[in-house]
Amino acid sequence: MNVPLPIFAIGLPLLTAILLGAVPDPKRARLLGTTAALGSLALALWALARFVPAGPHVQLGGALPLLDGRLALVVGLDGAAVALLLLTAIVALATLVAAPRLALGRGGVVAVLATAAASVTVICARDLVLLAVGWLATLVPGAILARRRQLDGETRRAHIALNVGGSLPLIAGIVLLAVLLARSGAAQPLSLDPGPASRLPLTWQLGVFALLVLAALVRASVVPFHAWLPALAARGPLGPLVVLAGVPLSFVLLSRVVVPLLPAASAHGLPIVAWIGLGSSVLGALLAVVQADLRRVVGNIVVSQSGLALVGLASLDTQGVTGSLLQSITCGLATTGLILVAWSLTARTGTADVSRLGGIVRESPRLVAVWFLLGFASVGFPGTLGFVGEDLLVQGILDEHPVFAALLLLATALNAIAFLRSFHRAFLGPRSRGEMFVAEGAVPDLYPRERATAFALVVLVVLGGLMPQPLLDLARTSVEAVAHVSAPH
Amino acid sequence: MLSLPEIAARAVIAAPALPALAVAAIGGYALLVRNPRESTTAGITLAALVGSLIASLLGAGAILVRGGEPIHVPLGAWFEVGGYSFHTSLHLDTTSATMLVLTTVITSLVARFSRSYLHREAGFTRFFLLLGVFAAGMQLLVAAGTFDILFAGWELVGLSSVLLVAFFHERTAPVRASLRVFVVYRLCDIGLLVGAALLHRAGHGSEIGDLHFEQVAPATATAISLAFLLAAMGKSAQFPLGGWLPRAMEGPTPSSALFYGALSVHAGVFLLLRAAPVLARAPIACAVIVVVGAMTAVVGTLCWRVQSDAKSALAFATTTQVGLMFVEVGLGFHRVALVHMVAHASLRTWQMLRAPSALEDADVVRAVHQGRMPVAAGFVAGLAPLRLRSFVYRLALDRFQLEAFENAIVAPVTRIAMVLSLHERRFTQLLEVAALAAALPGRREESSKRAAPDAGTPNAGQESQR
Repeated sequence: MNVPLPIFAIGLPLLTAILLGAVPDPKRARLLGTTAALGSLALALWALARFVPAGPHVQLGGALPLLDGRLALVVGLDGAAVALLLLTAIVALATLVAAPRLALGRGGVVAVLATAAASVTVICARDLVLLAVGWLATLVPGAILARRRQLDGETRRAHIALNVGGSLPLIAGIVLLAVLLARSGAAQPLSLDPGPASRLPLTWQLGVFALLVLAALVRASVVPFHAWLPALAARGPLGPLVVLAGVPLSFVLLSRVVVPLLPAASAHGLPIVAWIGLGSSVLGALLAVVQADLRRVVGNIVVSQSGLALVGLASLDTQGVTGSLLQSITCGLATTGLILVAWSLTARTGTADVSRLGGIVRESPRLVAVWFLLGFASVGFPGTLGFVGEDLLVQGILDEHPVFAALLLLATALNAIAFLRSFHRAFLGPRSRGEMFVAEGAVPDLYPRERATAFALVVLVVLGGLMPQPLLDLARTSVEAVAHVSAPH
Repeated sequence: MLSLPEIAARAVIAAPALPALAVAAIGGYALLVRNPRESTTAGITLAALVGSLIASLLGAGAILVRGGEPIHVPLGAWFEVGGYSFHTSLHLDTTSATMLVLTTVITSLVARFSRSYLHREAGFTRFFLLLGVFAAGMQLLVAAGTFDILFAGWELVGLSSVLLVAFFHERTAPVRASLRVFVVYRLCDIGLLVGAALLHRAGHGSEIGDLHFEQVAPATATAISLAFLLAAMGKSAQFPLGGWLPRAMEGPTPSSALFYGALSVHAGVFLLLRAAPVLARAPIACAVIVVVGAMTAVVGTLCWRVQSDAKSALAFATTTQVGLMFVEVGLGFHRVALVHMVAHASLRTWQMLRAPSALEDADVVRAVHQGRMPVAAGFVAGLAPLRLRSFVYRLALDRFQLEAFENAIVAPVTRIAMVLSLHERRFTQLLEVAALAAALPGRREESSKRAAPDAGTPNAGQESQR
């Protein structure tokens, strides 16, 4: 039997995660996990090599029929999915290699692999059941890890917000859609075929739209559904958090399900989504400016960047949607590096509070250099992939909404200011002399494994920025599939 | 078939590319392995800058041969999506060729100066990396064929400038000043982006050599001009956005010369010169430029007269002159502004680099007026050969390197003491264990009680941190 490639991409990390249950030694678990992550990266590269950008929209796929053909688990990859598959593999590998050992025990390794497997499931899914199962499964490892610890009130609320807000609306939306489609006589109510769903009455479409978009907004950590991301960035569990923050599954949900299946509702609802994204980009940046904890600064910059990406996607313009994808990918790569560096710093000093740090650059110049490079990549500095993403975003929305474009530019400027402010306070200047300050000379520089990981992430973001065309060609058909939906309007 | 001048113009690509490559090489090595030696860092950077200088001379030669006729060098699309493509090109005309040569000459000179000036400075590698980033950015800015490319160079210049202000990062003041500079830069840069976006929107692309604004409504031209003015005001420290300039002097002297005397501070004037065809359609914006420039000149000239240190006085004197350049651009005297800019940049670089020797210079001037030999060149000094004299002068400036000498003694002693302290701690631990093992069971509790208060010592705290 010819097994489609995505099944391997899902199976490898999933099976390794299950097998690791029998490996008690964290060191060995980490080694096995890293090997599996390398395997996932190789599979993603293989998918990239076999994918023909000029070919059909969905490739390398197949179906697994269930219930006499009434239900089929369909997998396949479009161009954007190949890019996201690569991103997921890189994020998982970077986390397993570079995360501080204290923050990533055996359970953490299992959680990273399981969350990555679930994310890959969403990325490869071509039907609603698989997509929903993968989506819910991404939340499980983090929830299990969190249950094993003593959580403070804020972290507990953050977990509840993510797990409930990110899952219930999705389940409700998909069940409602399936029921409506079944009642209207559709043969396969859970397929991603846009035909039957787009014939539903507008009122029902709007209902399903609202539920699915709510799940996407929570997952994208957009204001006002954002609080979970900065809280978890500061408190962990680190492993699953990096994958959740780094892999933009909300882009998949919106571009593959919401916009193609519910075009009429999208035409009505997406402008509201764009406003929410815009508000999030500005508010997230403002919040980032005043944070004292480096990990929260990163978390709030992600909130702001997610907002930017959302505006681009909601524009349904070719450039805007491409910009949104690029922005998400850059943010994923850079955020992974930034969160890992922030946690490494915390493992060395016991704090990521800028008021207790200062002058770290004297002891750990490489840590600081990496932080700087990744930070500026994430805020769209020229020469990085983020710049290309922001340029496309602005071009995409400029004609329709020039005011949006100006506000987006303000948000990126604020992001950069927030970033540099925290950089200056934590890493430059004299060491803080307040209570519980960090002793001079107590911060070793990045270890070789951390250095190599961070350097690889920087190189990826810069190479992507200097030569973005292959990535753009790869994503072209997927972007056009979304942008075409809006063409008749 | 390309003509010889066109081939020479293409060589200008090397002007920004070579410093960028030098940065990638030095930075990659420093990040992955270790900081390269001073001579290697300075050697690679200087070689790249001299390469840039040759490339810019070739470009300027090409313009001269063609009698000032511009050359547009298309470099293809950086990326294309849907109907949109990000064009990259270089545009060489008399303005950019002049600025290109000025930029490469001054940057190379400052790099050579810094090799000696920053010798044994802790941030030597960092300084040359940032110098490379600045050189790449400034040359990209000057040679850019579109406003989008100009923006990329503009950002690189801004970033290197901000980081060089915070060069002496052990102190609070430079770090604060650097953040202040960045906030002004970043917010004003929105103007450049908005201006470029409006150019695109007006349907003209943003090609610099191809701005035809005859059909564009004056309102659009005014909006674009004002947006560009905002960006120029930030970068060129114009009133009321120029409060950061004196604070930016916290950086090392060579970078102050390069950024706030010579090049970066003139980038705003250059931007306005680039946007001249748009300004021609926007008389209101021109009037605003004249007013801003004139106010800056007045405020600057009043302020420099009351400064108590050389670099701040120079900073305000610079804003005065740059303000006058704004006035010239606003009035349409573009050639005058260009000549003014080149002359001012050259003079100010010299003044800034001489600022640490200001006392000696003042003495020479006074001595000449009084008809005597300056102190430094008295009878004894006159006997010594020039090379020895400058060597001794340099030693005196460095206070005979006594600090380095002391460090050379103190550092090994400290290191030996650290090693001793480490072993001493292990030794005492060993003794304690031996004592515990030897003691009778009944005394064990006592000795553990005695050991307990030790937990409060700083050493114990450090150990628990590890």
